[in-house]
Amino acid sequence: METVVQNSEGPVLPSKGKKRKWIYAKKPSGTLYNYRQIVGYGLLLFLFLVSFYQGKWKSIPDVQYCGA
Amino acid sequence: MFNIVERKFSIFGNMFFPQDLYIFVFGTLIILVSIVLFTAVFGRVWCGWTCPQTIFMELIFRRIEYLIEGDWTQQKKLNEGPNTDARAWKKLLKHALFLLVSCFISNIFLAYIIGVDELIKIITEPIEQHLGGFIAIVIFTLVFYSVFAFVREIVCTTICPYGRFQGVLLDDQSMCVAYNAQRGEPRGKRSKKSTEPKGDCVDCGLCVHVCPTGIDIRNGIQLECVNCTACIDACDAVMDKLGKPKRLIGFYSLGQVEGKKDFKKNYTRQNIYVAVLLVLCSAFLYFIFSRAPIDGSLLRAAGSTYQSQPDGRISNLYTIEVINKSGKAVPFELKSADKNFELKLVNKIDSLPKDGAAKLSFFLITDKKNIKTYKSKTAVQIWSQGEEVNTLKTTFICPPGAQ
Repeated sequence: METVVQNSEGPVLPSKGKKRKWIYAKKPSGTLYNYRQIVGYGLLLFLFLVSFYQGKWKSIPDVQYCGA
Repeated sequence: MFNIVERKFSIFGNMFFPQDLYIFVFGTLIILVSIVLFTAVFGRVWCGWTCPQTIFMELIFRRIEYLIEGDWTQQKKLNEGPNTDARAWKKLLKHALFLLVSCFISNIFLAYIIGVDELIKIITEPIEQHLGGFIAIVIFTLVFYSVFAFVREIVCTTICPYGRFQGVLLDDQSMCVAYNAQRGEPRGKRSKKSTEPKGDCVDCGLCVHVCPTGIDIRNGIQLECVNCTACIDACDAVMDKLGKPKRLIGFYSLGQVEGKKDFKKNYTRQNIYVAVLLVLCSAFLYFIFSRAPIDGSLLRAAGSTYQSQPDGRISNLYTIEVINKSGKAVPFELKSADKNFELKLVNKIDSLPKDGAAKLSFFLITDKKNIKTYKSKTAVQIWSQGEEVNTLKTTFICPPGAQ
């Protein structure tokens, strides 16, 4: 049987007319979640600490022109 | 540190200038190939484990939500239940905390762009002195707040292009979080009365409940899956209770899950990516280490042609801008690469401070007899501490037979 395509109805988006379903995720727990927390909080700490790193940052001068 | 506003870049203590763009190109290419390689081998582990969106969402914002509103069933009950004072207070507290954390995150990000000193100035000094910075912080805060309070998983499932790429990046060799359908199906609750053979999946639905993007991993690998591995943990806990082996949902390659008989691990694609990555890394390192300690841009003085010197020789006027990339103060000297040309400085500068620059003007002077064509190719060398560190090409203009 041939598929009948009804072009007259116009394009139908898959999301058309669908209201977003709010996702309630259950609190995860387990070995992998623990590893994920170590990775995640480690990276957050890195992000936070590096933003304060100024050792080199402070020494970046405005480009100084010497001479006249 | 990437101070985009002032165009100063410091990577692991080395100063980079906009003139070093070609090194940056290799750097970004390396990142791109790494992403492709990483995805081809490990799937979307980046999304679930290291992407800032997931880390902020799952490890900060959702935890605040669990703390205030309770686990998912309580959250659902609260949202669908009556509008009480307790609910209003909980919502107020949650959104206030979300805003506070968003403000903190936007401050951190701004510190990366403008430097922490400038950020502290914006925070401590009166608002009217830093209106632009203040507005930037407010906008960033509101964007982060709306992303983490409302948009949430839509960022991963719809907005983020990386998820869309996975269709072309993943193949049947890539490691993915997947459900072992051969072992799990036919799924269903166990009962003593039934004698039908059942798979290991008891259809408890926990893998669906824990999923932050709301998918059922048992339907196969999906675009929405960020490989957060929460379903693996949930399923493993159930399998443990049932006394069955773990990893009904686990890290599998697509080929394994689909159960192709002739499936064999094949690393050709990965090897090619590694080779490309090695070439790029070598080029990157070569460019970094071969970077001239003193770089410069040389131009003939704007609008000038040739000049006749009092002694009858011909000169051209040039300007040169030299930048010190060596990381320390250095002396330097300009020399003509061609013995027929004499280099005469207009303003004598012979040293550069650390990360400093200088603008010099000089004449290249030559005898008329050396002029054979209107444009003669020549070069200027930069010498430092008895060593030639850079050569800059230029042209000398003068029509042959000029008076």
